[in-house]
Amino acid sequence: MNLSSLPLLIQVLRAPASMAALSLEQWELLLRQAGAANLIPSLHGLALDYTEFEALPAPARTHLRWHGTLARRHVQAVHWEVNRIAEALAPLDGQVVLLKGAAYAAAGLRAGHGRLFSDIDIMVARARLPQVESALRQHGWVGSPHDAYDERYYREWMHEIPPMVHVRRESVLDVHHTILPLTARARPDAASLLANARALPGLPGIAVLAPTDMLLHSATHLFYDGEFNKGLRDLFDVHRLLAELGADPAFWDALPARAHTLQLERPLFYALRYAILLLGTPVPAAVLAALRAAAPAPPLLALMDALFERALMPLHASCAGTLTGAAHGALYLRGNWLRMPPLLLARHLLHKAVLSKPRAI
Amino acid sequence: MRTWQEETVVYNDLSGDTHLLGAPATTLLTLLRAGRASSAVLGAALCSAFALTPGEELDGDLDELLGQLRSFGLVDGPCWVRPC
Amino acid sequence: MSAPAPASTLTVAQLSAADLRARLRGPGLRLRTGPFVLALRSTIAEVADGVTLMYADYPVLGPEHFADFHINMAEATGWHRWVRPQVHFLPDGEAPFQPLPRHHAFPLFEWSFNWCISGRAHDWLILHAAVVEKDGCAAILPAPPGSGKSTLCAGLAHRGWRLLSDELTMISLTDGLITPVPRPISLKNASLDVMRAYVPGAVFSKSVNDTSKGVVTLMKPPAASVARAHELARPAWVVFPQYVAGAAASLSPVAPARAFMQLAENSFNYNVLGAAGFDAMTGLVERSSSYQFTYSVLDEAIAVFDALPRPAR
Repeated sequence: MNLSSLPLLIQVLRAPASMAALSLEQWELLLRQAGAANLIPSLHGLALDYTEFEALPAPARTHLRWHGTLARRHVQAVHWEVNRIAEALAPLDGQVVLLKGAAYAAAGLRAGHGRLFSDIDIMVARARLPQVESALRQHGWVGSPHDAYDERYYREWMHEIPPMVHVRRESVLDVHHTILPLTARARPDAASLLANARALPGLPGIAVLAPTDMLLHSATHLFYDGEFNKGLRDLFDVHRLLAELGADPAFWDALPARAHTLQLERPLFYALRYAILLLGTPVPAAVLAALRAAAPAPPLLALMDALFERALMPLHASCAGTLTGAAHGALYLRGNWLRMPPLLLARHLLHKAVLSKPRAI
Repeated sequence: MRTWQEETVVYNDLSGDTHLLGAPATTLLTLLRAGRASSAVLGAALCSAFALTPGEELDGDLDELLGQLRSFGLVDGPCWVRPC
Repeated sequence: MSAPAPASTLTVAQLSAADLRARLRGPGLRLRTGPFVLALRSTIAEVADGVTLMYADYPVLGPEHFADFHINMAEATGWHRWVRPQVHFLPDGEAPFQPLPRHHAFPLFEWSFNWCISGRAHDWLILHAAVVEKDGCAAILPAPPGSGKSTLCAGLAHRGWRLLSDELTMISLTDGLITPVPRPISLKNASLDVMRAYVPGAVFSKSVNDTSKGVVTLMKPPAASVARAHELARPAWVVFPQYVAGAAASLSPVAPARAFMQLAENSFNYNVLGAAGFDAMTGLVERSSSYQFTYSVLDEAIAVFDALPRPAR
């Protein structure tokens, strides 16, 4: 891959300190690409960590700061939701494992910085689902409306029950019992994931996946979910997780074997491959060697390379893609997170007749 | 927290919510922010501030007010947990 | 972002029609509106026409100037664009609105621009309210649709008050002053007739008849308001207007805590700003007097505004 032909956003994610040298015109382009990929809040964090923020051009600081405000509010909302979930479920026996963004935020991981999302994902043992649902209902979560087919679809085939919505806060909670649909070819052992989960200090009953498992879930989520409009952001998650979790050599030592046990070697192979190619993620050679056997046959690999390169590019006209990009402002508009009673976001200007139907992020 | 003409607006930086409270709720909140207080102490404070008579009705109202404050996350309840 | 207006500025009115269209169809037309620079692209004639009429007095900037917002009012693609042409608002990310019939393009542009600002400009507490200023004091008119706010605002703006905004009142989080973002005034249904009579010679856009809000017409903001967009203003009054047919103009005070909550309910981003939003709102409520206002006759209403008590220093 020719480095200089990579979109500016990707060059910046590879080398955040390079933001210090950008011209105003480049900043405008960077912000547009990052906006399309829902990554401006993350850029704000990167700029704070890797540059002399106050020395950046004023318009850049302004726009980054605007999104920093959103990120700050989001973290507050996540912590509150996790808090409320803990209160509802702590009295029950057994763990509640936070997944994805909520986990990164609760565990204080860098992957969580500036990462906005609309649903909280948790995982519990399948056998406990009825009690968990019941406890959640008692605390104000209700099932979202759907028909009998959807109900069956979720309960029999998927890895989660239908999304629950909190009646007052309007936040959305996805309760999983494993990390892949039951119909997927790979069947990672949910009991093993739960057994290895790490408790969070200060939050009784709440845990996050073990580091290897967290990374594997992120890799799986990226390549199984099929919604590549969030692809770059999800790959960036992998990149940041590896940087932080990989500081411990034991993490790398355990990773290939764990991937094998959970039947997730193929997604790990792809995640590492594209993280290295696109974002320059440092990965020990020994790990790559251990995964060589998990690679697909060359023709398939070439096809996947072409597909993923396209899919993982920021979806912005300047990156030669289509303009259907990641939700950005739409995230804010939908506002499950940010609608806190008794004050509701004034929506009258937004002429409800013209709003798109809300879609899951 | 800011009070004008006996009504108070309060911002809860845990939940991000903003609430409008009447004088009795404000009195309770102010007391509880200063430290733990038993129902008896809270009841007595309300009585003296608003010239109320102690008794079952007051206790009921007090419980309700406290329940509301708790449900808004403005005061600690028995199952309170804080994020790490 | 906010700089004193230079002595001689190129405005939209000074562009030839060909130049305007070339910019819209090509690299984008860059306009300054208050503290923001917009880069607008569109191949739709209704957008070019609307901009020519409504934004005539606005400064035009070159492509080297950093743009805060990028809006593409695109012709929706697909086979039906010959049968049922549509306009689609395309920001850089996912499109938030469904496409609309093409002749709605200019009102949709105005709504889209409001969406951009109110969803992102979190250096300000942004209220869904009109705001006008006279002699250094600003009156904020928050109101849900149907309250007559825009008619009242348009009336005031043409009877001695400076228009700061018809829809977005922007209160600085750092100093509590109001930053103007003057834009065309959106009039619905019968308001158009009222304003035609009230301001002879005023410039209106082509009415769009079948929107979800009824008939929508834009009214060109006074040139002086646009020229003075860099002048900040001090909030003095919050007036919640309510048009009631046949009612005499009457003001009644609103208690500060209630005004606080009503303002927060009429805010786009209060609940995103956290403690800074709470502080800004507190500051606003403390430095202004708040009123509920009922009226039916525009002249009477304006007289009440002219007589509002100036705040003690």
